Amino acid sequence: MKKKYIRSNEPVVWGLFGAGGMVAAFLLPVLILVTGILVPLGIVDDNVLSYQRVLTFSEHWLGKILLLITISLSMWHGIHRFYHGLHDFGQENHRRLTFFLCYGFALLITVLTALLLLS
Amino acid sequence: MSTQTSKRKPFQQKMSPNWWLKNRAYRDYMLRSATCIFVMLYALILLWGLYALSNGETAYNAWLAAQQELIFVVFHLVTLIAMLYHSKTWFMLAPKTIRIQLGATIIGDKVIESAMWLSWLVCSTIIIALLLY
Repeated sequence: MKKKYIRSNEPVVWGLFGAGGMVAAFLLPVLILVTGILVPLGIVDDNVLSYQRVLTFSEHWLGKILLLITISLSMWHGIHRFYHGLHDFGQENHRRLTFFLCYGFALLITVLTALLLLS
Repeated sequence: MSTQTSKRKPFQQKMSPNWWLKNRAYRDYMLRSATCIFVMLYALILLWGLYALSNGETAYNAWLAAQQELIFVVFHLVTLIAMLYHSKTWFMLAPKTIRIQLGATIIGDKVIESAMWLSWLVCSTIIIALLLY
């Protein structure tokens, strides 16, 4: 009898989770410090995040890649832990639906970010 | 995602909702997992900023002004702490996924963890310098 193997999707989502974990560990602390604390509290000059400066950054190809990586991979990272967290709290119903809702959301965020950067 | 092919109803151990409070290691695990909420919320704030940016200067400045509200400042302070905790736990995990062998010696866990922190420091300094100057 030929055995039917079902391929796991875990390597793909774990890969995105791992990459996102690196982004979150290396980039997010310093980004949060600047965009969420130093600039809003006026500790550094307003010009750091001025419209012209951020616009120029977002129009450069390297800026586009960095923004896409930061936003989308953070999302893939977060949603992976969230999805497995549901299991930790005993939420075992509709696992397949939850899977598509969770990772579908991360995909949606990725597409939206890419569309904004390309427009 | 697991695929159940067996007809047998598997035994499932009932877990209390607070099982993770009973042990230090479980609490740390849950705390580490909880950082994902802050990662996702911050990613959404950046996306909101990007959307505002695409809508022109007035919309972008409104996004900047919103970040000055108390609730956002508090959120970012908490998120900064959560992210530093994420970095700490992520670098502690690094030796488990990165295994470097030089000749007969295997690079120790502490060396890899320290190398991660050093890279983190260099990376953060470069970003701060590029953003502020």
